[in-house]
Amino acid sequence: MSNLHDGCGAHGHGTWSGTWQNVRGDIDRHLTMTPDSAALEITLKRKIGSFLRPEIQSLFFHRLAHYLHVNNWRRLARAISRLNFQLHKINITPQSCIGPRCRLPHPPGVMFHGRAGSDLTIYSLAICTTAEDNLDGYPESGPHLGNHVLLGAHCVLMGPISVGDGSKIVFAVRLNCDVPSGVIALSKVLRLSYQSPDGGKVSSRAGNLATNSGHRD
Amino acid sequence: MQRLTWKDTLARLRTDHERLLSILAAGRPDDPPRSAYLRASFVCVFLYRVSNFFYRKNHRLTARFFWHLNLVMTGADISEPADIGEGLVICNPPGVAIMGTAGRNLTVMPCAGLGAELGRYEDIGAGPGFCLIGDDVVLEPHSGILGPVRAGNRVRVGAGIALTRDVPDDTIVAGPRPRFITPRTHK
Repeated sequence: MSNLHDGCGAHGHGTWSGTWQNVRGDIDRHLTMTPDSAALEITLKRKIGSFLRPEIQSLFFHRLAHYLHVNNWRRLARAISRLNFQLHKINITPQSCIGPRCRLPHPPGVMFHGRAGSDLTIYSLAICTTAEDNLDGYPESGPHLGNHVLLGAHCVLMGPISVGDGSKIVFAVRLNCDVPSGVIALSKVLRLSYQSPDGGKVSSRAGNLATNSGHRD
Repeated sequence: MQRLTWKDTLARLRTDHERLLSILAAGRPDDPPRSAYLRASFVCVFLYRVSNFFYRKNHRLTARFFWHLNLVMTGADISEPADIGEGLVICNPPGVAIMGTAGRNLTVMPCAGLGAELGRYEDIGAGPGFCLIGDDVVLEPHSGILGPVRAGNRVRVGAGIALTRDVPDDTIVAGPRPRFITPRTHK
């Protein structure tokens, strides 16, 4: 089986120039993430300074590992991935294919195994992994994300599911089914529960208080 | 607490390694890995077993040192008194926190764990406030078994679930499905 699949070919992950273009895309997106920072001129000093950010460092290490993996330097790719893990506590498997202009504001605890298009945003402790307990399979066994996808903090995507372009998976959502394009995936409303002064339990949905003794949902 | 010799610890480590290898081979049947000794998943289990060995020998400071080394190297917080049977696999160590008693073949996926719940300190055999779980339990990402809870054999705790009640054997604990909304476009 070839290491270079369709996504890799489109993003140029098989060549060093293509990989470097991806890194430049990540830096550009990092430097223009807010209207204030986008208003500033992108200078060489700012570009070099962005390399001191864990976000750019961890993405650079992943892109390097992925480039080595698709060119059949698997052991070296794994070593780079392991170095990334030691430095930033982020686990992106070398075979995972991530498109350009990725944002990764808080690397520690993030795990990614799968494929993603361009302009992916991954917040802290988001997890994309396989449904089975196979840790190190092909990227096809993990989620397949489209372009402009946002993964909120603590969300979990498991298995070979597909997420359409422009979809947002918000905080703490667990997904093991396909997501259409352009939607926002929400978890069910959380129920609060606390002990009332008379000893009964009171539970409520956010913003809608109601007594419900004896239940703790 | 049951005494554990170095030979027992090595036997447990061997089983841990074999199980990790079988899981890795399931993902790549045409190119199975030959060893997993340098993987973070195994390093984390190795350091936990060593710290647990010293803890049982009453070398508390040495045990604490290996626990801390584990925390620094892999990001996993597996307390040295935790009693976990052979065949332990931790898929992605950062964010994993474990304290309690578990049977054989425990699988811990990213950011999952076992621990105590505030205000509940009954001792059901795993220490005050800690859980007692059976064999072949799987903890999916961001899930946890909290407090003095008994979980049977072959229990699977779904992603994002905090289990605080006893569950029988062969149970799958799953959360609600998410809902999808389409955002309105502003003109």
